[in-house]
Amino acid sequence: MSVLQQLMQIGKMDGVDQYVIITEQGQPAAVKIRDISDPEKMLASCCNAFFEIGKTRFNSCIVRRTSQQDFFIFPAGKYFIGVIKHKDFDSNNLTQKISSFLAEFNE
Amino acid sequence: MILFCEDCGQKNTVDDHHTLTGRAVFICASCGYANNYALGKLKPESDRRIQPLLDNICRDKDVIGAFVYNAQNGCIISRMPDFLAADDLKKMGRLMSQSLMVLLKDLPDMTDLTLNIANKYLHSKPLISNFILIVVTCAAERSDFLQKIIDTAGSGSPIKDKMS
Repeated sequence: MSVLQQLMQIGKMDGVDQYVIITEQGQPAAVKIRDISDPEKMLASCCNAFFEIGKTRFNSCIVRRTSQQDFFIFPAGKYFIGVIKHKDFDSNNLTQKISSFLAEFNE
Repeated sequence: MILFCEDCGQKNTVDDHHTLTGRAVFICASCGYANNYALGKLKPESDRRIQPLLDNICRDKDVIGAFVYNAQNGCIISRMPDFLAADDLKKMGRLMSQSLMVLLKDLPDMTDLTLNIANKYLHSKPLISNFILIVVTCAAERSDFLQKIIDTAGSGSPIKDKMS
């Protein structure tokens, strides 16, 4: 199974409603997202800004929403992943689960 | 209050009467430059709320610092550590502001953002029109704490109402 295929398993994780995966260069790798019109562009723009801020790889970004469908951004090896969570799922719990899932890709 | 010299970027502590006209009018203690620049559209009543707001936030043991950023005027009020230069804060504010705007386009109900870099957490949240509060902490989950303080200061959510 390729790295990308392994990363796409995130879609099966409890609490994950939608997700998008892009390469480090900002190219779409897997787009399983309905609520965002141009998710790869949005993700690439944010990831570039986050790198500029820290001058190093960021660990995570959490965007909180009134709908409770929080949006997460994580680096994963040579990819970046954006996730929209199910509104009924706890945000902190899902963040930890995704971080654990992605740990091996960021070693 | 703390203001930054337009010429050399040094931090200056000045009395409130130097900003009564809505402009920062002061002589830089470091280089002697005669500063005279607009402070932005922060109304006096908002300013009176924001300064105690930053003070309250910075009392928390996990808070490293906080500042308010405006796209037109840069860093408006800062309680950040001295080792961070004005240009660094301005850049951080600009990039966080840009990210919020990009995210807001597709996530109009977003309320705030927390970015984790190198074991530091940058919490970004709007205060009033075009002004963003940025708080740097060394603890992960501070959004509830910040929300409580901000609500006390009279700011609500979501972001879209405040950044358009």
